[in-house]
Amino acid sequence: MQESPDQATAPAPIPDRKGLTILVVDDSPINVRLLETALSKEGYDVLTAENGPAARDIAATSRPDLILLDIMMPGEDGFAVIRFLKNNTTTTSIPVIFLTGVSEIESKIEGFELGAVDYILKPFHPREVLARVRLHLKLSIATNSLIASQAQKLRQVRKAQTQLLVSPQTLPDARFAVYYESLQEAGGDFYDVIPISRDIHGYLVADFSGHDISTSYLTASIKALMKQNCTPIYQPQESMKLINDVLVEILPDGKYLTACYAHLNRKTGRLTLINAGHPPAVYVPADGPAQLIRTEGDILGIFQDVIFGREVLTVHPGDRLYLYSDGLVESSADRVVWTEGAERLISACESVRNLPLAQVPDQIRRLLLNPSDPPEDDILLMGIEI
Amino acid sequence: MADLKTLGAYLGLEEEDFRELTQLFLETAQEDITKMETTFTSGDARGVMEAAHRLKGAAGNLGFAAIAEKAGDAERQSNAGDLAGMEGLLETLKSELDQIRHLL
Repeated sequence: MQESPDQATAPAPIPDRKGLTILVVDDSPINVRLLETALSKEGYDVLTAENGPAARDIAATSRPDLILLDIMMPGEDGFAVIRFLKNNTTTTSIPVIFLTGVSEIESKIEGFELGAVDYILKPFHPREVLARVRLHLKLSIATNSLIASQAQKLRQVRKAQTQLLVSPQTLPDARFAVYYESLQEAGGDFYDVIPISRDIHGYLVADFSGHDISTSYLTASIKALMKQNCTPIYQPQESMKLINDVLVEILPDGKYLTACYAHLNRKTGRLTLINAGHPPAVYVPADGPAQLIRTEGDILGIFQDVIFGREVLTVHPGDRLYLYSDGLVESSADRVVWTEGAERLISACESVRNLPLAQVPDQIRRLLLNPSDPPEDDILLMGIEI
Repeated sequence: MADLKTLGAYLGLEEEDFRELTQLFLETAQEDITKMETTFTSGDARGVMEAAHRLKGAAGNLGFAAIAEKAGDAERQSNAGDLAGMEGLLETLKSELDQIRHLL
């Protein structure tokens, strides 16, 4: 039986995903500190222990998602710790990677037999550790049939679209501002901002093909998908690929989504832009001219094998980035075609350089579209300040 | 020896983070060297070896190759029960540590 939108019952809450937690165990405070720094920079929550008893205690109470474990520790060594973890139902499925020096290499076999998933030789390079951590977290999660269970749960979600759009006030660390005007009650454009960690945020602007009643359920799905799949263990393009996989399964035939996803790490100054068939983002460096980031990619929700456009930029505080949907720049009434629209967009973004971010989206909209013209499409613009 | 920024960049860390790690290393390395001295004085080869092993590990992970290598030598020799050249090695280790202190 189909519910009509204004009779929707209270929606089931989307469960909150806690941040991914790594437990680092090593008797050397240097190693602990080094790993803690490298891991938290990538967006993980890090717990530490300098001996066996502390490691067992923390693992059992906090249930980390992965454990990096030094074998050679005075007193209780890493083998004793692994044995405990694997014999305990609360901790047995946590992947354990052990850290070992070359001289202890014979211990490799014993470690695997006790249930470790991998080993890393010391001295280790932080980037190698990060790569192994990512790999084993992915494997661990995949074992829980991520995609199938997500698609199943999402088919049951119903929620009014407007409740889902995040406001800039709720995420002050994300530093963004939005203008959004939808043509109908159930708009076809959608945006979301995902706090991945304190210094890392994901910004999504998306456009559904067609505007009809089914889009309100779809935007709830996208929001849940973003929350699940935009985590430190996936590179931005992998997150989008996972989302595409689910969309191919759940979108009605012929329906698709275009999207632009910006992954911004304010601590490292690294900005990754992923484009899935969407208009190009505008990047306005504090000390340079505004420019379009032209990169093309496949749309979402139709094809199994997709390739996205990807661009990586180094950005600095004071720079700005604009994501938008095509309703902002195209207008058949004005007979504005894309190339001309792009030029006007660039000069509009230039002209608001010194305006506080909160006022920018409204101002750009005013510059580009005549308020007296009837809107032909949803209009969405998101401004992000680095 | 390269500067802090370069050493940090090799590990993928910002200079500020690497500086903090280096400060921590100077503390623990000093403790390890002191431990090596006291165990050497009392003829405890195993004690020397363990402290040298710790020092080698910490130095190696941060990219301080010279001091890591010397600590490795000390570890090997003391593991074989040979403490003959230890005094010289300890002096070298102390001067290596000083060089690192000057990076800050």
